[in-house]
Amino acid sequence: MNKAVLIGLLAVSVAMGFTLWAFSSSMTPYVDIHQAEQMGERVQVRGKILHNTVRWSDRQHALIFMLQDKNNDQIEVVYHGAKPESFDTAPETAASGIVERGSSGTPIFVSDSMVVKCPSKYDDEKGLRHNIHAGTGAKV
Amino acid sequence: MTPGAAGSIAVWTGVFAAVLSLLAYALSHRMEARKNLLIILGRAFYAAAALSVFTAMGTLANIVYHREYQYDYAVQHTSNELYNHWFRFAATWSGQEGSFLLWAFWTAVLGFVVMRRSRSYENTVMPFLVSVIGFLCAILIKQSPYLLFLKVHPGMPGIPQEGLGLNPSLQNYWMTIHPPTIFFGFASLAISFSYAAAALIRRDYDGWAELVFPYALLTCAVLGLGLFMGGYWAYETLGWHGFWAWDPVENASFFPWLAITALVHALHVQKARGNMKRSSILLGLLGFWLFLVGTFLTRSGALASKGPNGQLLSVHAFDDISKSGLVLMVAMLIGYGVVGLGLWLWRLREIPKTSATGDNLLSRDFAFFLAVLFMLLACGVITLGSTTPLFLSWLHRPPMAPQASFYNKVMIPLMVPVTILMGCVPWLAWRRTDPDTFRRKMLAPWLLSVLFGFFMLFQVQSAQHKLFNIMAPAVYQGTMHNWINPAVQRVAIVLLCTLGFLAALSNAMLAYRVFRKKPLGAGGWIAHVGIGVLLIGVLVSNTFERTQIITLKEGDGPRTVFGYTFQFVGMTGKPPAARPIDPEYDATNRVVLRVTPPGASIAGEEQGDAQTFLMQPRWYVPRPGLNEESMGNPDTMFWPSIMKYMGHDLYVALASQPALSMYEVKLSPRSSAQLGPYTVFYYKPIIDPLNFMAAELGLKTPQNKIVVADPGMQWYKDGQGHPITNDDGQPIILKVNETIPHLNDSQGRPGVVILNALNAGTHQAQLLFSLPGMPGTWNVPLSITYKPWVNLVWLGVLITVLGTLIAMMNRLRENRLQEAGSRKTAHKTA
Repeated sequence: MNKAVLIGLLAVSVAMGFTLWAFSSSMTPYVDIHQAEQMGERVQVRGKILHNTVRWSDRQHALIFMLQDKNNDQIEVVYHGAKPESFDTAPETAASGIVERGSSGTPIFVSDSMVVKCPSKYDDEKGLRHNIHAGTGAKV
Repeated sequence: MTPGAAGSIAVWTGVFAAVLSLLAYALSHRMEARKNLLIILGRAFYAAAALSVFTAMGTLANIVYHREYQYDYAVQHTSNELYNHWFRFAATWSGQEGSFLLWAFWTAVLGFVVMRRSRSYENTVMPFLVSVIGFLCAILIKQSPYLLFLKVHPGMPGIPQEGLGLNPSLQNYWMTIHPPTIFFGFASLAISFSYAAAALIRRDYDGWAELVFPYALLTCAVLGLGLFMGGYWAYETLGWHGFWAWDPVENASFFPWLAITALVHALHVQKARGNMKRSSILLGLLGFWLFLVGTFLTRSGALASKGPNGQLLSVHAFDDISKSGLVLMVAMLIGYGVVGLGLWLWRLREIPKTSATGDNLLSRDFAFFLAVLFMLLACGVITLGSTTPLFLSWLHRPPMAPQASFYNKVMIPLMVPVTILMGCVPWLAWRRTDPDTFRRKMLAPWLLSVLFGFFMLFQVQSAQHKLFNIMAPAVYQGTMHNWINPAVQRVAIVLLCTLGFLAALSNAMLAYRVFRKKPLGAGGWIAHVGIGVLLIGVLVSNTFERTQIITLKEGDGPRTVFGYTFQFVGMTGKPPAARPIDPEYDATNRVVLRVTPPGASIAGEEQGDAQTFLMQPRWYVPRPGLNEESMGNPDTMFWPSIMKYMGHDLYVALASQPALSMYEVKLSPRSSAQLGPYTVFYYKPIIDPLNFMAAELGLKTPQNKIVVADPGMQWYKDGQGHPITNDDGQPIILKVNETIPHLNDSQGRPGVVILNALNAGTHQAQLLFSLPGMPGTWNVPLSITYKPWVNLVWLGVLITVLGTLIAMMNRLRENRLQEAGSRKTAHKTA
């Protein structure tokens, strides 16, 4: 009986310890672009997507765009993977990755995971106004 | 009466009838003399509440189906473009209010079942169940879906003629099946809660177990089915490359499932051995409460930042919650939590203290105890992980959610003891097991599993070899990040698969033995077989899937990935006959690819080659102006194309929007340029500063014919005629693709010209051409994934659901027999 409870407790504590370790190791710290360039380790950078710079690179098979953080620093992001849903309309993104140096020494943020901030559906009445007048929503 | 008024009245009557029903049932405990009358009243008011819910649901469905745009809900959730009758109907539950209604609807339906079957429990169970309906109707009063558009948007000049539409990723047949299924499961969680609470009130810690057992199994099966459908939907439609991403919406349905599955196991122990009485009541309360936690989490997340797979990042400011029905969600969370836990603690000392662990380590009792423990551990880990953003935002810390790797890291090692338990439990007896008998029985399954392990190892090695030969190692990426050495990971995965096989095999052997004697008794064992199969499928498909991203260029010839050869065939879109330079904004855009599997001969021009097949990944661009989110940058959505084989899936999706390279010409006014066999004349620009810019062109064809065109760009306008600007203050411009008349190639595809830029000062024009004889070429970025053994995932879940349903039928049958038995004895004593 006592042995059984002991085994249970042991299992629970091992699992909890492991969970804590996994938890702390899966959280990537948020930093700004300047810090990311200094640190050289895996971080998350949050900022504005400069949409006119977004392009798909056939050569690198990557989505490339400029990211601007709250200090107005900019960095080129090379995102390896398919374009996330809602990326085109998202004002902001938080990308996880590492700063690397490009061929000319310019810093490049190489990212493999991106979290996209959705535009708020509820503040913007522009589209609704448009629909009232566009009638069936035909092309302008 | 307008439908909106009817709906509003219905939710109000819903609240009142629910309260009255609750009072009548509650009073029937106090007033012994009028007990029967009060119960009848309770039933009548319950029926009224349920009827109100049905009416509320019906009116909302009516508003959405008939696109009554005077109501805001219809504007937000449907559109004229939505023509499919099923989707028009299913759009009812695409919004938050609609899904609350769906939850209320199933609660109301299930309430009638419980009422009929609850025997003496009726007046204790029903008050809890009806209170859920009351709360949900109150939420719908606070956050009404029946509000008029002009009331919600007072600044608007009129009622729109078009709605914002149903999110295209929801326009899928699963939308009509998945939400009703999963909400049936969610609603049924309240039954376990109500019975557990009723048991505490009635101090009946055994009787409730029999009554609740079939419902708990039903919840388990239906929620499992719902999770399966959600995963399949995500896999097939959303282009996630997977069926499970550990996002909060999925987790919010998964942790109640774990709690209710733990309950099922505790109830089983209670029925068989009379143990775990305290635990089973707590587990009964827990499932529903965790669902409330999950609902709050995902609902409050509807206004928040989302990750690439929709994972919740931050919860919206809490003051916004008080404005919406979510404040009542919080009340439910606290209310049911306090009532449930309070009742349990109040009665705890009275509940017979029984051994949870059994007396002997080598016994089924102890195995079940550990199983419940591990399920609760898993449940706790997932709940904590998903609620992290909630806690962080409470602490005003930057929002962070643990990545999927966190869940994998914890859940995969946890599956080791769980699979060992599942593999052993069929050969363990209740109370105590003779070690020699146990060893003898385990021998065959162990040996076979080791054989399976070697087979897997061989399979994996050959598959790896094959795949690594096909592609350069630098470009592959697995989804399970390399948190341990890949070679170690492979071996670990093979070992875990072996254990999964052991679990499936042991349970299948016992299921077969039981089935021959008593078919319905095999349910639980069959369910375990499914879990083993599912585990193997999940591990293999995730660990050994490989993705490669390529850009397929028109005219460059085929490309080979993972042994499959991909050849660009064409594009489809509207209008079908025309070459879709800028594909019309619709959901029919497809890239048509001809795929030649390994070993088959490369297909030539002839389409009839039986060995090759077509794959058509799709993309969707919403029409600008249809959706305010798409103003400016139309948001694209990619839908994969999947070729299913027995042993693997070939999963092809667009990695980015296909791009057309066209021939560029830069010209000043009154000048000309040579473009292949064509001569382009640029006569003059036409500029209307507030409306549009265009360039007047002439084009001399190789046949010396002159055709004219005036490609242009236009400004989007709002209702007052002002150009609509984007966030940076730039006007949003629509480049119109000008189809050049009288200039078709032999296949009827027209020539196209785009005015890409026009300098307002120098009037220099940048023009892009795609002309007969020199068409533009498509560049298609493709993400190609090879996924082995995915079918085991679907098969495993279906076996588990089937097994659970069989177990439910078994419990129903036993209850029926017992009832008949007790009636007989009652008759005799009378």
